[in-house]
Amino acid sequence: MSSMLGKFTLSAGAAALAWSAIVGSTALAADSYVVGLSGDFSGPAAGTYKPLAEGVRIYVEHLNAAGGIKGKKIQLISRDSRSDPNQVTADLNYLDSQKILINVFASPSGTLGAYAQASAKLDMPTLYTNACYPPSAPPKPARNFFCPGINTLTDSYTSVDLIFRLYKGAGPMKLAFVTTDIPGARGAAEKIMKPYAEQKGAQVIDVAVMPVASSDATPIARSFVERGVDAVISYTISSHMLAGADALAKLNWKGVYLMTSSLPGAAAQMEQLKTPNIYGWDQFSLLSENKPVHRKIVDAAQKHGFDFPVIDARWGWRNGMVLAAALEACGWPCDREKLVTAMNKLKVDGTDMIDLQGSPVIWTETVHTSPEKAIRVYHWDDQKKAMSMAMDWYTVQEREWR
Amino acid sequence: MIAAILSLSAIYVMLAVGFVIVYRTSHVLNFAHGDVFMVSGYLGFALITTISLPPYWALPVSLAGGAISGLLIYAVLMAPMAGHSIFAAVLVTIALGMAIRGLALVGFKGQVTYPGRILSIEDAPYTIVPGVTLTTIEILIVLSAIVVMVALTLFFRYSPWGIRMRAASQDPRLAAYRGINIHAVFAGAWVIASAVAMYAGTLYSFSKQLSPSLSDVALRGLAVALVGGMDSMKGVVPAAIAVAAIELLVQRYGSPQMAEAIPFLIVLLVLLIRPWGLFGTKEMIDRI
Repeated sequence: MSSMLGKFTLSAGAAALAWSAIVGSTALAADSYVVGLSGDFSGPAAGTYKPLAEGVRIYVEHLNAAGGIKGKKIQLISRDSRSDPNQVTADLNYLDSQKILINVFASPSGTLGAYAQASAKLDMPTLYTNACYPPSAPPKPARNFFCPGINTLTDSYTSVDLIFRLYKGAGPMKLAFVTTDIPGARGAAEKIMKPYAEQKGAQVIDVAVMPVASSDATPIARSFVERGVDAVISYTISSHMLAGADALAKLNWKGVYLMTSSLPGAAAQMEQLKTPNIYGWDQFSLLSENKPVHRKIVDAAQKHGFDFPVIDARWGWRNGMVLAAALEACGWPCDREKLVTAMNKLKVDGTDMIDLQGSPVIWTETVHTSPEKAIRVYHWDDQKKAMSMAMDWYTVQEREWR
Repeated sequence: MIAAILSLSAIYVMLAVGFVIVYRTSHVLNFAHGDVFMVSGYLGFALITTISLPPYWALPVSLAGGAISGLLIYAVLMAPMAGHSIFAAVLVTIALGMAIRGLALVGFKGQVTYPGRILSIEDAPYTIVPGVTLTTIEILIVLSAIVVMVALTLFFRYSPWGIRMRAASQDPRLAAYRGINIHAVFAGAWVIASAVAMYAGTLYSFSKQLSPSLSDVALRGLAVALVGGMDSMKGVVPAAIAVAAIELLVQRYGSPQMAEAIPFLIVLLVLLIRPWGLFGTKEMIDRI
């Protein structure tokens, strides 16, 4: 009898706990902005995209800890799409069933096609946290698709313009590219950067394409050195940008290597390489500048468990700020239609945003990226023994996607 | 190009010998070998940075660690499979590989990092002969592959343990009747294979980068072993050089996507003509 009573008590207790959890979460959801966060948290691209998503998460937790948006917290529902287009669609369907207001999507260009189709079908507002592509790119972005950066076409032209500014050699530049066999990166190198560089007077020696799963750029580096390449642009996934830089540095190559250091994984690894002729163009300021926004990022990373180099939190943090601004503009109660309307005329230009990324985020009906973007160039300074600025904020104008 | 082929084929040699030794001795195709190679880089780096040892200490530590892990893998997972079908044993290695990969991703977050740079390991280029420039660690990789091959060849040919392993590989039952401890022999194979894999993984991560994709590099070691002959130590070196050369030439002058597939296309071609590999023994082919 007593063991039956004991079993009953245990069962009742468990049921009560479960009930309170359900009621609790429902209560939270009822009084919160419910937001999806899906992306590559595992799989081959996780090294870049998990930190992006985690940056958003720690921003949200930081905001919630400070009371949320006028007393309303943000509830994040996360899904791991593992770079699988089928999983991306399944995740979005699940998130839609959870009645989210908007999905923050952190995944590479390879799955964007599947995502864009699924989000159009569901009419799901999306904040894309990556370099920008259609359907967010101008001139005709999808009404509910947003990306607080600039599109990769602009990135490509910017990379070429910058290498010409950094290259100080005499005579025409012998230029090469290191890219990856993924549509966005390879297309940018072959179809945009190469012709533009040739138009500007560079002699393009090679567009070296690394297989996706490869981590060894030594054969490419050797071939560049043998053929007298004196400048390299690499605009692709972080591991390949750094592999190319490292391989060339090991061969004592003294040319100019330009990559983008905004993506998670890139800046921290540039610091590991400690090579002055590797330059990273970057959308963000360095945490070492120690402005209030930098201190918030460092604090939040510590408090809320950011498992990556803290510098990798910048991009996700920026997107978190934009998400919060959008929800605040939507007001309470908020629904998808109200949110999209608010995002189509959103301006995020507070001190924190300017200190972090040098320029505001401005969205209109026709621009869902940014009309212009400030960028900086960093490199390793051998004398200071730290990353430092090679070029201060330099504004680039957003281009229409073609 | 010659330098690149030398360096890549040396890594393939060190990977392929592990597959060959285990298969030759116990007829098990060890699909966890690549993941052992990958995780060793992470473990070695974590250990060196935690205990603050001089970087090159990671190499003997990885040898020892590999030996111990090979012993554990055999004792816990493979020994109980004795008497069961080879297919079941192979499935165990597949599951083990997935488990190692998953744990590595959870434990080390799949981060790409440069141990060589962080540990300030000098990796300067040296011109060996005109037209062939290798860095310090690449030279160490090539020398290590040579030492591994010579040592293993002498071991199998002249040492009592090596002779026992050869006997057990030819006929385990007869070897057991003659008093050879089969479990000890099989465990020895796993010890050697894991030790070499972990050593190679640590060295490779010093030279290139540390990332989860190292498992895929190691899979090409399996292709080399299949091309050379799964039971043939003497097939490892020519197969490694051939696969590395064709892969790099295709990557440079052909298509990078094809370069990834090249090792396996070579396997298909060789196996169509000689299913036991270029130097393997015809009778040694088992159906999995």
